[in-house]
Amino acid sequence: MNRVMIAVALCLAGCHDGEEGARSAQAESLALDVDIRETAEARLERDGDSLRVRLTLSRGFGVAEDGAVLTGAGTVERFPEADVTLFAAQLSSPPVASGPCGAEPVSLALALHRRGSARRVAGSLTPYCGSGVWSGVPARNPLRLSSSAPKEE
Amino acid sequence: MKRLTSLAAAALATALAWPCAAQEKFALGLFHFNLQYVAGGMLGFWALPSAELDLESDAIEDLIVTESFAPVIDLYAKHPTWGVDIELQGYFLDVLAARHPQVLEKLRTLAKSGQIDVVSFHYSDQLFIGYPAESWKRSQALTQATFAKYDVPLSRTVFCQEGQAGEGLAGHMAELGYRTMVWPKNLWTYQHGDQPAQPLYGFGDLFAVQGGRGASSAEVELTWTFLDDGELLATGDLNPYFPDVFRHKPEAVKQYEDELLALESQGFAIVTVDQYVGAVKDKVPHPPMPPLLDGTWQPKSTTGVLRWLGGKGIWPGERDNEVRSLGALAQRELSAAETAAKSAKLDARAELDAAWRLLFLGQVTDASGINPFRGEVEYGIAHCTEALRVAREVIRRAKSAAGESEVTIDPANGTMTPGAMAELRGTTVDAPLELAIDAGDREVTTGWEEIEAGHHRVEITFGLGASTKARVSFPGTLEDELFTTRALVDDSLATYRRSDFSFESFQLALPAGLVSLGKQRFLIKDQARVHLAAKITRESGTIEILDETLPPDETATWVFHLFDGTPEQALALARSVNVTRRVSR
Repeated sequence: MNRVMIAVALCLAGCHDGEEGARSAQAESLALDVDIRETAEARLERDGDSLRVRLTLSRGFGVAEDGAVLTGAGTVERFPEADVTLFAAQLSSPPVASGPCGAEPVSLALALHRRGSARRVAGSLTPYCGSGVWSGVPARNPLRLSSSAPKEE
Repeated sequence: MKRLTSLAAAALATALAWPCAAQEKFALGLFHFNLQYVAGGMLGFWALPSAELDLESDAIEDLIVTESFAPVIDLYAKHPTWGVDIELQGYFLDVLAARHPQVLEKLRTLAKSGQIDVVSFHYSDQLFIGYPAESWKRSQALTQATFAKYDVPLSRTVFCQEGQAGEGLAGHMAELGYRTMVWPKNLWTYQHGDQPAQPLYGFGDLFAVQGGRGASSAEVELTWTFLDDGELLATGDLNPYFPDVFRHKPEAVKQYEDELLALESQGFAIVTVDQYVGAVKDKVPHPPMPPLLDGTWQPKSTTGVLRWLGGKGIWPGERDNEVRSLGALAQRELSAAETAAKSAKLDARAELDAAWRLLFLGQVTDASGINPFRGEVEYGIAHCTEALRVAREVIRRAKSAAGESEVTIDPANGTMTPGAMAELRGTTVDAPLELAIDAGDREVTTGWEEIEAGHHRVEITFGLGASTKARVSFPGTLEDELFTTRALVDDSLATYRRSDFSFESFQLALPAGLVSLGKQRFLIKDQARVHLAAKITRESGTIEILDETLPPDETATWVFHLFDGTPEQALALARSVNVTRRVSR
């Protein structure tokens, strides 16, 4: 399997580190990978269990413009029995004519989970066609979000 | 199983063992297609970007259809007297309808004529033997609805992703109108050794055949022409991870066609599994199958189900426990959301159905095995996280509809009551038994609590380190009897005798989290904290839990319950931990 060996070698040589996020009690900046190749900067501002999110995408994948800055509100959800926190927010994008929603605006559901006090978060940005649509069959596969390395404290 | 290279010779040799005139000859082929072969697409598979190789999910799915699926359909369309089984997930039909309607039309036509049996047991190629049954039940219902929606007859035969099989499927199959289980031969021989196969077996009130293994009796000769990933036949054994060369190779199809023609000329009927069973069931005995544990189709090379629940593949970035425990957490939350919505008389059916769909897509096998790359791992995480979000949103609305700010949701009783409950925690105690733990350079701490007499909870924390491997052994008493539960049957115990099997060790997924450590002692994993395979052995009562996919420089915490009591009490506890978890929200 030459290709396997090549891939391993390339990955060992080329896997990049992202920026470390800066955390405080109320606000947190996260450097995220999006579908591995792309990136996003997320700013989470907490007020109790309420959340304000600002998300800047390097690429929009047809559900937002490339470089789009998306903002929205959400909540911090806790799962104490699993030691998991979920950051959930509702973001929106104007229509992207070339994307799967065509002339419709896009509702983008952000969901990031974190284990315990780990720095790492991982989750999704899931696009739904239409305004204020937060469930159903997504317009495309959820965009895969995860912390850029390094991940721990 | 790879297609036999000398089908004709093998069939001839077997035929010589019995008088030809007395035998009916059958050749079976079952093509297992998986549209989630590269779940989420190839983006990021290679370290360096490549327009040719960085194909998104839809493009990979389209290649699977055009390069590997359609040529197989066309082959059988060319030979109207041949029958075949095509196994696929329900999701496959949605994609055909959306982007390949002509292929769907061909499939429908051949399915209606009876030439192709379209086999499907799940909407997503999910690891259903590893979770409580509810996710599969929703998946199965969507599969049935999807087949009905596109007017494609659903076969009475069952074969599953990664050859997942279990005795617990029989009851569901009978209820749902299925008739025959194709049990992978390697999962059989791994447990009982290499014995000659019977042409047909009893499977509860149904039938089973050993998939991929020929059989011969005075009345029947059975040979298999194909039981493998369907993607491989028309592409000359290439798979979609190589999208630049994953192409239809007519000569590969022609070779297979010639082999079938040769068999046909020897008197073999090339039929579907269902046609075969219909033809022989009154002519041959169908002895009951021996006891068989749940598993997958290549247990030797994958170390059973370990490869999806802790075993490492060849790529970096694998994180089995995160993927599987998140899937378990989201499933619990959806069960709680179902209860909350019903209790509050909230109509959230559409949201919940959509979230279940996301969940079983996220529970796809390929997110943690056989060789998942980071994109597939994150496909699982992304889908499960979104399912979790929707579930929590439904709970929030249910609380609002009920006028409550804090509730306890009890899926077992179907209630949502005001106020929080106490967590399933206890008081700190000394360890009731000594665990053997090996985690390389990671510092390990264990904390034991007694929740009530005979019920302990242990939290095992692995500190930061470079080691990607952690192993915990729970000492048990060697008893012949072993208690656990079967896949898709969460509400009753399964009892096996170690002495009935020939293996030295076997990996169990523990779909309800439960396995015995002795006659009156049980281990229960809290699946939202640790969802790894449990290794049992014939000659020891010890249970070993192994994760080879711990991400470097991340901590991990596993939670288990240790219970002393009767098997029935242990089952009830396991259900309360993993199947119908009571939660405060």
